[in-house]
Amino acid sequence: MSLKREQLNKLLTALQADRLDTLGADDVARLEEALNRDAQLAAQVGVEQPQIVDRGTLRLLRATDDLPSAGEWEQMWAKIQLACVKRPMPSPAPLPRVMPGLARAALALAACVGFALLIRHPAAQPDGVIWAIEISTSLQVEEIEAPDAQVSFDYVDGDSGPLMLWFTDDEEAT
Amino acid sequence: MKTRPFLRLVLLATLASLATTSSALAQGKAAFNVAILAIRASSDNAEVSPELKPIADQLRKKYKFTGYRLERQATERVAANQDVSKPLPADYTAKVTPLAGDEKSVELKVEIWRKVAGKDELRVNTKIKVDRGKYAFLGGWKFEENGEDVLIVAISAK
Repeated sequence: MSLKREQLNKLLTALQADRLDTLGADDVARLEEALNRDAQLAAQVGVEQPQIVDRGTLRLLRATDDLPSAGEWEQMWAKIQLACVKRPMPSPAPLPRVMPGLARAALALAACVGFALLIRHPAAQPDGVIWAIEISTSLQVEEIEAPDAQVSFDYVDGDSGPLMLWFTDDEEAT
Repeated sequence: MKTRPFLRLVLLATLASLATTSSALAQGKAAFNVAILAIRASSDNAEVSPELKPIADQLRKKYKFTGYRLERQATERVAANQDVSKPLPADYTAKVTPLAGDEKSVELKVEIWRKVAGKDELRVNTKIKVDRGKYAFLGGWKFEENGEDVLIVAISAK
């Protein structure tokens, strides 16, 4: 890779002006090669070592051609800012747990068992007021046992309607 | 949807209790209000207790008694198959057990006992079905050995 004198001067000027960043990767590579090849030239530009430019730096400089442009960077930053705005707010910290889980479970079970027992076995209520007295009109006798007595089924209003069960001692009946 | 374990547990327990309750109701484990009345029927007077006035005429048409006095009354709420036992006048006792019920009627087991010389004697043991909220009347037992007044027991459930 040979350089024309005019090009080399341009590269050397940039180097001395500490403006390597204005050069392309190829130009940096050419400059590096030229300086490595010509120690005198390197001395002229004030570089003691033939390796005037760190290879890592040069590789980085070469890679600058592949970096995003300023416009691309702007777009990227805009996307990042947009994403930051859209990101949901972090959920609030959980409330402090007042009761341990086991205690909560026991409380819930006790409440439900109590509820079920209350419904299944209602508490006996104290004696209260009776409701309106009306003789049943469709009384059905499914079984009856009356030791030492005779039973009669008495309709109080004729042959149907309200029915009463009347018990008479055997001795009295005879 | 994320459910907290505590709420999930409450939900499960509630469903379980409702299931057992439904099962209990299906098995006739409902609760009933049971009423037991003791009425003294007499020929010596024409006294009728205010509560008995609606039925006094019906009773007079059928029986010789002119007076009907409400001597005792008791109500109690119990579950199915749980008995209600109440003392009645003249050493009688009524034991009533609601067995099952629907919208129209209630099935009851009724026992009337009398203590004679310190010994309980069964007067009647019957299983009846009565209109819900109306009364089954059972009577004819003497108050005193040589007396004329009789005991009428009225029983209802709803």
